[in-house]
Amino acid sequence: MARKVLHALSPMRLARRLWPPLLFLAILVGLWELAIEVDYVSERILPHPKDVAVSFWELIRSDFVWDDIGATLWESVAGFVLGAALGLALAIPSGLSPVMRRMLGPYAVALQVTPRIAIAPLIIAWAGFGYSSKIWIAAIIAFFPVYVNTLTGILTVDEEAREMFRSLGASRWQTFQHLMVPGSLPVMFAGLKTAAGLSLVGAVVGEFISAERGLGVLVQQFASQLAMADAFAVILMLMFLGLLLYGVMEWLERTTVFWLHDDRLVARSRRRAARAEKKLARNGGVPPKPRPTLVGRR
Amino acid sequence: MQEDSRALAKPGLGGGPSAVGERGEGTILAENVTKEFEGGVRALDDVDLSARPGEFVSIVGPSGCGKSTMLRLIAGLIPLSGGTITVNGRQVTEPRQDIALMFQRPTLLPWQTALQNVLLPPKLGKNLDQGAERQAYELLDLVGLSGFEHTYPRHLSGGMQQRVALARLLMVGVDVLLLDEPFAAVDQLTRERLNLELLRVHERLSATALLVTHNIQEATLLADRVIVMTPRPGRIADVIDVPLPRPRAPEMLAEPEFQELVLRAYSGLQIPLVDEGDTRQAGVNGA
Amino acid sequence: MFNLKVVLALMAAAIVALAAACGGDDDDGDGGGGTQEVVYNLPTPPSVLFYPTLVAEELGFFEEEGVSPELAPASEEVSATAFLDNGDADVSFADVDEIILARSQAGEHTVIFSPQHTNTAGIVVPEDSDIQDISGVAGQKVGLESEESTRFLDAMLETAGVPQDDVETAVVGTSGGLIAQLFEDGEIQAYVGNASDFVALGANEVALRNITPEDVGRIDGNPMAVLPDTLEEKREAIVGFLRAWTKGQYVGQVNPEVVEQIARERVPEEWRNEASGEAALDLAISNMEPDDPERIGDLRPDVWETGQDVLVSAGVLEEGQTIDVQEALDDSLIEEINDWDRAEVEQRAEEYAAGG
Repeated sequence: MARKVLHALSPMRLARRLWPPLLFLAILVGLWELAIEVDYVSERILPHPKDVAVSFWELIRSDFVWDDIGATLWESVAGFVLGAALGLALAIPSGLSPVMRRMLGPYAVALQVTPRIAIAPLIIAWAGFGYSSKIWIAAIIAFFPVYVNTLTGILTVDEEAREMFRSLGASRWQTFQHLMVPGSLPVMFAGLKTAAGLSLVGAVVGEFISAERGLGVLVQQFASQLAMADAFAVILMLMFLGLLLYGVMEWLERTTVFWLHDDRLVARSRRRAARAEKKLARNGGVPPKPRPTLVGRR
Repeated sequence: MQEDSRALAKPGLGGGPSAVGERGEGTILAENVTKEFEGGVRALDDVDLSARPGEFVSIVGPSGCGKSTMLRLIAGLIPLSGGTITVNGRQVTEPRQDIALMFQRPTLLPWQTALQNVLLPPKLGKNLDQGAERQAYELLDLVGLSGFEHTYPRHLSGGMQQRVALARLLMVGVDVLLLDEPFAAVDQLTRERLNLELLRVHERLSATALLVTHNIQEATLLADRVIVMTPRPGRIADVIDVPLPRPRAPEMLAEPEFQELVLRAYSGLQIPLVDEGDTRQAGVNGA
Repeated sequence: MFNLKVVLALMAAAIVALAAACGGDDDDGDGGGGTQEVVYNLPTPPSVLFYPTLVAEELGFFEEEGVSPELAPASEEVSATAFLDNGDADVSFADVDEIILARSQAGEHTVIFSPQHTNTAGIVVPEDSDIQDISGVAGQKVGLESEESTRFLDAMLETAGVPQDDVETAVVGTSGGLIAQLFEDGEIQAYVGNASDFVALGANEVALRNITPEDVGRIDGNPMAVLPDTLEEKREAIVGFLRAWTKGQYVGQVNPEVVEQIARERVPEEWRNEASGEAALDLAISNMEPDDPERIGDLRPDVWETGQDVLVSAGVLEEGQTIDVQEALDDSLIEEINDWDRAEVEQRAEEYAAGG
């Protein structure tokens, strides 16, 4: 394991992997500087990349910005959890029962095609000024991809596999537990990943409208104070926050839906084999005795 | 082609060939079976079918002759429109633990190892114990997959996946095996090899097997009896006894006696040998 | 693979817990320790522009009054009176026009306190602009802070006799950099917004001139409204809240350095741009200068009449819908609110400045 990590971190490999994005970053920053240099945009609107970097460094070393980061993170995560939980809670019955599907489907679609950001001011008026309104906005925005993907995941579970479960006399709960749930996880996780990003959008939108704390508040404050480098630095923070959320979901996905990832599968195979061997050794090192007959088990 | 290198039938499988037969179980009896789907499509019309314990019966016929429907009826997966089906002396009304159905595709659970997949039937039947685990190891060994117990389906070839499915099927119960074109999804060479393996397993276990296929040569080579069905509505056109000695071998395909049986099946299907590309091709290239 | 029942149970618990937490965080109640909670609504997050609360918190004035204040910040998108209507705030620092409109629609919002005797909203042009007064914007393009500012602009145009159609408008937001750029590029010739935005620009070498008509400029910014039921129920707490507020406001008038010290500590994000921070502080202190230091927050019926006239002439308010301004204002609490020892507060501020 350690060798693998060392190998992955070897300078040559890193260089090979990192040069394309770094080159693009250099081009981007170059164009940015050039735009300011030739006065295509005013420095008042687009600060120097260097100033943004300095601002970023200063801000993360200040105390107050961490409160804002914490606020936005909490709103996003809580909104995501709430939205995802509601999405799952409605998608699962919809997936299992056509009646439920017909009952909920139209409203889910109606909610989807409504620009949900337009609901945000109403939610603020309804849920109040605290964290809860931001959490609800994030939740409403995060809800849909989870609902739709989970539903799709459940509906696209292999028909033959269902028939197999039926032929094995599986109960509805068993089919749900051992087939529907794991079978719909890959598609569901795609929805969860989207939702994680959207919940951050929802939280920031909510903060734009009304909030005491949060990175969205900071962006607006800095922009109106003409502290543009700071505003950009906060946007960078939001980006990192988004990356963090995405990364966590990605990691969760790789752990949960391990069967789509070769490296995970190999590792699990090895672990299981080792465990089985140990079990064998515990039983006295004798290979398992055949059963007396292979008569059907009833 | 990893499976090639693995020894197939290992000796020492417990029970002996007569373990099932002695109890006189493994009978299939279908009388006046009729199946009509919604919209009035008559898939099966007054079909009689029976199998003795330990017998290997093939059902051949073109698409739409109701052969798969027949299998699902016997498995209790879909309700009858008319007639009765009795397996092991008990009438079939719902899926039963003593009837095992194997599908065209392996339908393994990708999140479970080969061993876990084989252990699915006892897990669902709530009798997952050490004995079951031992049996699963044995069955995987029987189908030539020892050493791959802890491998996930993603890392198994198509043929190996089918073997896991076969082992899982045997895990359910070996009285009655229903096989719905079990190797349709693998390549021709692998399929031939798997067919022979199926025969070997069948002989070892003395189970009753009902194989559905549209490949006449395959059907004939494997079976004691070939039932030929015609479509619209599904009816039995002919029942052909295959008196070839067991164990069967691929070389038998060249014997005149075998050829004759195949020709008889073709005439039962009322398919001209030159036209109708699909069926013909399957027939000529088969086995 | 995993215990699905446990996972499902946890999920259900998460929904219930979150929904409960979210539904209930605006519950009223005692702030604990015998203090009473007062939820107040401001148009911004905590800011030097509303320094009295910062000072009152830092110097312990709220504690003395047995009040625990909680801020419900809003912005242009949510009307301040709505916070009172739906019970999200006990008291709300609203706009004159918001209150008049709410009352004209049978609202019972009553103004009991008004800390600022100048209008926070206004209209500005670049220092070197040819436009001398509001009538000069005819035929020009005006940038608006938000859609809400349209009403205000229309009212000002009406007083100058400029038809509304003669002026082109565009909502440009509050980003100082953008506004400066728009002025520079000649995209807009005037900007309607909040004084806090103008001063930030002014402090950052974008010289601006305020052309808000004098009578409009005199209209109170952020008068404080309350619903009669709430006032009856929480009279003592609200008076306590306002007493602490006026003490804080007073500190700004006698010792601005202490306010700066506190603001730097409490709202460091407003001091990332030093010039903007200084300008906002100066603006807030001058805005909150009371006419009579003994009656901080006093009400001025005449500016409300002006406000209503402007709304009527702008067509926002129909003739028949006007309200009785006297009924909307209740200055009976002003004396009680101002009943505290000036010298003692001054001393507290000095002690704080000395590091107390």
